[in-house]
Amino acid sequence: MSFQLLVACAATNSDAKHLQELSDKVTSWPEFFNLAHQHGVLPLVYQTLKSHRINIPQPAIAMLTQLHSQHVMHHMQMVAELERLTLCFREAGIELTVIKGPVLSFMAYGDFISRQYVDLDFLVHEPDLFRAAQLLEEQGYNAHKPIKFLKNPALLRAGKDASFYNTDNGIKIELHWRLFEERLVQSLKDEQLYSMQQLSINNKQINTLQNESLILYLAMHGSKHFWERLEWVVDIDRLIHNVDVNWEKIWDLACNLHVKIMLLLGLKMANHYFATPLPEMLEQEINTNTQIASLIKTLEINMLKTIQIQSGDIIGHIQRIGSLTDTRLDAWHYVIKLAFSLKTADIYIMNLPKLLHFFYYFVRPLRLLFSVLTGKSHHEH
Amino acid sequence: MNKLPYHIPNTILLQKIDGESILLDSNSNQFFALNPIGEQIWELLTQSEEPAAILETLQQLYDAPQEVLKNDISTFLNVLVDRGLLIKES
Repeated sequence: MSFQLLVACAATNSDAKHLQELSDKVTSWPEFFNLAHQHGVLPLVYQTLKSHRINIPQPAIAMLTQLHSQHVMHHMQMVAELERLTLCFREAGIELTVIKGPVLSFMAYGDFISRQYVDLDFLVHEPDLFRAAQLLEEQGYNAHKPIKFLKNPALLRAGKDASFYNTDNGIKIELHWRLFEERLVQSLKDEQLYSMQQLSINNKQINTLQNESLILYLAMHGSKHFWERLEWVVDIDRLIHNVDVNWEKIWDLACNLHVKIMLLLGLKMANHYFATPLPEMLEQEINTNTQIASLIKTLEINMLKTIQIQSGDIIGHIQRIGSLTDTRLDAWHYVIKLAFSLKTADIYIMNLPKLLHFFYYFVRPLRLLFSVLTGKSHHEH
Repeated sequence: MNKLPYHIPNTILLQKIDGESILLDSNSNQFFALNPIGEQIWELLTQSEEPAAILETLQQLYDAPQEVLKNDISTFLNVLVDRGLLIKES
């Protein structure tokens, strides 16, 4: 019942009577707010309950108001920091694309506070990566791993991003040099997603992905994480309502990248929960695809149970990713890449010169063996 | 046309929430809440290029003597300047 209320709060067309009926059935508001936070829709819960004047117990109102105030203040700090850092990158001559976070909130929801986000995601061209990392360090951000690794070609092939954290302002930044690991898409050319547009936000120019690339990226990102969070579905719904989309362009892009299933699944999830209008050409593809219908059922159950994907469940992970691939060949490609390609954890053990990179392949089995013996998960998403 | 002798520093971020305007000064990391009249003056500051326009608009909205309004606006602007939320052109 709580999940139904989450969906109703995240929908744009819920009526007060329905919301009140669902709210009356909530047995624990702190648990409900926790669930809303886990699903990334706490701001929408606040806004919807407030705007529809839903009658909920006074202590719950006080708790929600406090949670929301904290959320707004932290998001304002993040937006201010985004603006400051964007300027720093521009002055340093580093082309920066901002993905997700406040920019997605602005594009899909029309403001910075309706979407829940915990970090800022920056995408830079690989040749600029090390300079970008140095710049973040100069601006008070501590790298999670030493930035010297960002010059290591083995790491650049195996990974996709590096984390930074500023202890003064509590803001985390993910610095991406690509959007997905090589193994996720067969064509390996997710550069095709990197077509950019410039938005004017708060009178400041910020680069972000084009609408089509962004929708496809969100569908791929949500699929990769098996749509664990309702927020990812809402993002697609709101974005489709708020931006102009060239559907033929998206479809061509999805075909080129071999991610048709992920795109269709993302669209169907939005349509399933929020009745998002879909273009006729893709609706037909969705309706004739048995894989999508079966996936939706599984994902719906997962979301209801709020199952968190176990990071150590490697077989389950392969099966799930396999179900999201366009062809059997794509699935095998993923499995082979997963089994034989290096992982960032192999490389972060030591920063070897290129001549000695073969040594990483000896490190990997030892690291996996150590993980198994110590019972620690070795799988990385 | 006389330009306003003030400008809003680019370190100030405004967010409206529940009918209230919140300002963040990202330099000092301090938050400020504006009351409805303060919010109107702030909006006019971002839109208007003529000092007289602020007074004129507020006169239309509030039934108060011109001198009182003038003083109130001046006091409010001085508070903003003192707190670093507004910069007075030299």
